[in-house]
Amino acid sequence: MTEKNPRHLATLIVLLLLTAATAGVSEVHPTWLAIAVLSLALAKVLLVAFRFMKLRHAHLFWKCAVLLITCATLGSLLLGFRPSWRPFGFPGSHPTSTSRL
Amino acid sequence: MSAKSPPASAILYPPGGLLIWSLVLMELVTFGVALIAFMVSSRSEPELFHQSRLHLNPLYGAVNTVFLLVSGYFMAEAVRHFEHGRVAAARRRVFLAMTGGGLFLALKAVEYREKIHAGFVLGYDTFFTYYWLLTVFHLMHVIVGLVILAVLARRLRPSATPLNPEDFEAGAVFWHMCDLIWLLLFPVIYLLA
Repeated sequence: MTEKNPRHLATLIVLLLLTAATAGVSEVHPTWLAIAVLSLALAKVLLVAFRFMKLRHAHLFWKCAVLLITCATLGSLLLGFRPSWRPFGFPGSHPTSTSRL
Repeated sequence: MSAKSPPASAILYPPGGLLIWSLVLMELVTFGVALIAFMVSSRSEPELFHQSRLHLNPLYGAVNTVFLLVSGYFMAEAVRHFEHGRVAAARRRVFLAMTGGGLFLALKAVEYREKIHAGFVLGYDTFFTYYWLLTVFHLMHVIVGLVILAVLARRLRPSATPLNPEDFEAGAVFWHMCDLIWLLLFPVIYLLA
């Protein structure tokens, strides 16, 4: 009989909860949607990389490389997808919030 | 094989080997650049991307995420069992991981069929061009990953020649890489466009 690894199982449960949260935040304000969804994506990517792919056992170089590429990608996407950094009543660039002249 | 720390001479050697992790970094950069290009296009045609995205079903994307994550869990468990010499248990986990991948392919087929029947084919508009290119490119990785898992499962048979632990771990890293890419694709294409 083989036992389960509680760490892997706990990681899976957290990943599934984060996925449910990702699906659940789609109703929030467009500004916070991008921040919430991309932050959840970052958390999931890092959990898979460090726990399932055993990146935690790798040299610091590999940890930094994965972290840097993921953060650069998600950071660029966040800057692009945010409708506006003025979420308190100012018009943004999102199609649903843009005022047409 | 046990989970010992690597010798000082191999300090830059990641789990699974240098080659597979170089591939992981290159794939992350490739898909990252493609997603940034997607975002830039969505900034120039926000209304089109918004309307086109409404034709996607985020539930398909979420369920496929669950399939890949559960599959990844079984693959991580397979590696652990293999490291402890429990080859039969590892082989069962590899089959379970393959089942997750198979379910992903099946649901993707359903989704693609719906899109094709609705006329949202490659070239329909900028959004769907990106949608097809990115998701099919990822799908090809999943298919290659399934072939790798099938080879690993075959090599884990009692009658087969013993498998190099690093080869097994490299195959697992490739499979997890499919998870990583999908975890980036899903929110951007299905939720944010």
